Amino acid sequence: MTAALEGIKVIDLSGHVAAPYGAALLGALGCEIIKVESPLLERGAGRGPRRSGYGGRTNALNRNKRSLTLNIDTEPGRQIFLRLVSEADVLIDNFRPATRLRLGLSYETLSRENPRLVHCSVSGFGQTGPYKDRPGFDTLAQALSGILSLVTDLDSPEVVGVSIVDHSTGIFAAYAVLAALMARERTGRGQFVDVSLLRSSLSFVESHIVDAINDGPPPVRDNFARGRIFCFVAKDGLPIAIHLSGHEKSWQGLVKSVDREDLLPELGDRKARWERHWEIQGILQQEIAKQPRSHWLPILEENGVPNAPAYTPDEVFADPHVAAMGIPVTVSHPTEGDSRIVGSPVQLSDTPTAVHRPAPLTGEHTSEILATLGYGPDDIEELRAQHVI
Amino acid sequence: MVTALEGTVVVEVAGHVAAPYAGSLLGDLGCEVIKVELPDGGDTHRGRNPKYEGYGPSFRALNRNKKSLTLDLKKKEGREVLLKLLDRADVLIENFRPATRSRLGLDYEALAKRNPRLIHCSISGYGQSGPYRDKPGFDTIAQALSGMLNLVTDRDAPKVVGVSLTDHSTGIFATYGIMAALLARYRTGRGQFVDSSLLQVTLSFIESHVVDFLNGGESVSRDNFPRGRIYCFLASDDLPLVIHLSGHQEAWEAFLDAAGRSDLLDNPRFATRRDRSEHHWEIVDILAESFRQRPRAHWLAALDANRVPNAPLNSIEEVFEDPQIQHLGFPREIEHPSYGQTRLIGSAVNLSETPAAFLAPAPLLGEHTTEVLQGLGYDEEEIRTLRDLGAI
Repeated sequence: MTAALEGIKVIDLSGHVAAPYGAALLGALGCEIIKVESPLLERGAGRGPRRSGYGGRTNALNRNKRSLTLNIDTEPGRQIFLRLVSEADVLIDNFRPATRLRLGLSYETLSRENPRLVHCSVSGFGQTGPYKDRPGFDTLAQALSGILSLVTDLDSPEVVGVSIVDHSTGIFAAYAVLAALMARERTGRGQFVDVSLLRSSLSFVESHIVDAINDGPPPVRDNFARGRIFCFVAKDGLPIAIHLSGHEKSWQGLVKSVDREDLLPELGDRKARWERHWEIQGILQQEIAKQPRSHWLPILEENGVPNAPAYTPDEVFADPHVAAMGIPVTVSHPTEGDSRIVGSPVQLSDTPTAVHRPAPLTGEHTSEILATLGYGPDDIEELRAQHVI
Repeated sequence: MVTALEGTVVVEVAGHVAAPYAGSLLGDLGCEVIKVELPDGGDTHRGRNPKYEGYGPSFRALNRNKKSLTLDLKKKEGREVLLKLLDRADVLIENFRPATRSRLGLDYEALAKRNPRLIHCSISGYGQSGPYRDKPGFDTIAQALSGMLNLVTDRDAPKVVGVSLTDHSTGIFATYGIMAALLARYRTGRGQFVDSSLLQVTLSFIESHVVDFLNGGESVSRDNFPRGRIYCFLASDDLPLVIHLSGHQEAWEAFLDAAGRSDLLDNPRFATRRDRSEHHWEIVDILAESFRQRPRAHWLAALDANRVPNAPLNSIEEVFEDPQIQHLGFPREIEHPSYGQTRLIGSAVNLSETPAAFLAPAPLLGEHTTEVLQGLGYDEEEIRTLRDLGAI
């Protein structure tokens, strides 16, 4: 069995989280990814290959990639880059539009070099408009798109502990690149793919905000749970999440589990439960607080109430089902040793997703990649002396 | 210009959020998406808000660009129509629990025998095997099991956030798996089974946050995330704003200058990035008081002037007054012949040569039953018979 996108060459000219995550997702499908990194950062830090920064997180975002150091701000560096582009299927960058133009890497220029190139730019705010050249970050796009207003209390705002926008944008970048590769099968041509943190955020929360943009009431964070979702803390301080399905029997099962069937006549319909949600939360919390979590989980299960322990990371990876899914996966680097990562989000039966190689050290594959472009050892030495690579 | 996936036929036998979101994302790329619904009420998500009589805004967003075909899969005749439909389809998206799917005779092996080019995408709660495989799957449950909930709430007073993070990320990841399989099919000529689950997707979504822990680091909680980098403040007019600092020392200096608190530069407790991470909540307390002194507009301008990345924490009403969001063309409008205009967001990405389709509004229940059946070769009388049987 081969991987789904075997033979597809991707250049990852990006940093931070969103765009590298998008590229890593293409790597999981079997693409060959070259991560282009600046040699200046390393020299500035006065270090060789960056060992101190090599760890799980690097592996999560950069597995399946080879690393080439290249200063694209020099003419020889730019020439090498254009040769890479001429043989690539996909380029992912995360430049602000003005920076890309200054570097002479516009889609028009690159597509002249290689008309089959799919050029995906992951920006903060899109290619045009008043914010196009502002720096883009997860938190800023969460704030502008209204996502943050749905995950925090507006009178004491705090971010949550997941970079929701960076990750969803990374997946959307992979989605868009795959669509453009599909189109190329028919048209024979690549195209420019415009992905931004802001637009991805808006699409991600569309179903939550669509009522408000059609003259409905604005969504309120706490309305999301009303009548459906409860979180309780058991006697031992361990949290439990409950999601009632639309069926009455899951509500009946919940009150039966905590021996409060006396609530049934009064709270028998969904509307009443929606209106009195926080009161119900309080009443049931009192009951749940009487016993430890391990007491409640089997009872809820028995009564057909969809429930789960709200796990900490150490509990997650001790769960028997997570283990049965083959998570986590161990990747091994020849000099850096083993790293444990989660691995692919989906499984394909005939063209499996896989971790083919661990994240690279910075510049680990520079010589190897330049050799395939026809550079001999002396040329490579020369480029290194000139700080091009 | 044509769309990227023009000519690709997708059959969606699914309800709720995750799987229909996947169907709509494929619809945006130009697929023909046929949504199969129970004749009695259809997708339960239609009716979530009784105010809209089965055609609520959320349903409209998640089901744009689809046709609706009603089929009762408990009836043999209904299953026969579905099998005929799948004989001509490129993609099936379903969200059955594995045991239910087997009972209905819709396992991949059986379907692939009839149509070897079919890509069968299952969106389940917990995957195809393992101890939880036949438990019902919901957004909150997968958030809880994966540890995501732990990263977005306070453990001693837990509550969910107002976004179904798992459902939406699962929807996008399903399309990622499906398109990978469609691309592989160009080479192999065969379809395959794509297994995506709420649990596996959520674990993958938060991988970069939990991976330190997986490699011997400390366990993570919500409060680790912003340390030394991200600040949220309320201004004197009660309007919230956010600040994201890059790692450079200059960013910290520019931030304090904009906040009028350059005096803190001399505080040794906040000298380096590591110090600021360690004493994050102390910094938040000090600066929260400063930000309370002036209105938000003042702070946004001062931060902009110092090139400190910042944004107003927009309420949903404010979102659509934002000049960049208006510039990007949001919201868009779509028209249904009997329901009129609906404002939506639309596609998450722009493709220069094969733009996202934004053509058809979400269907009424069974709106395209006759049309789809005629396309499969059923004549008027056969359709009437199926209707009398309650199969459609």
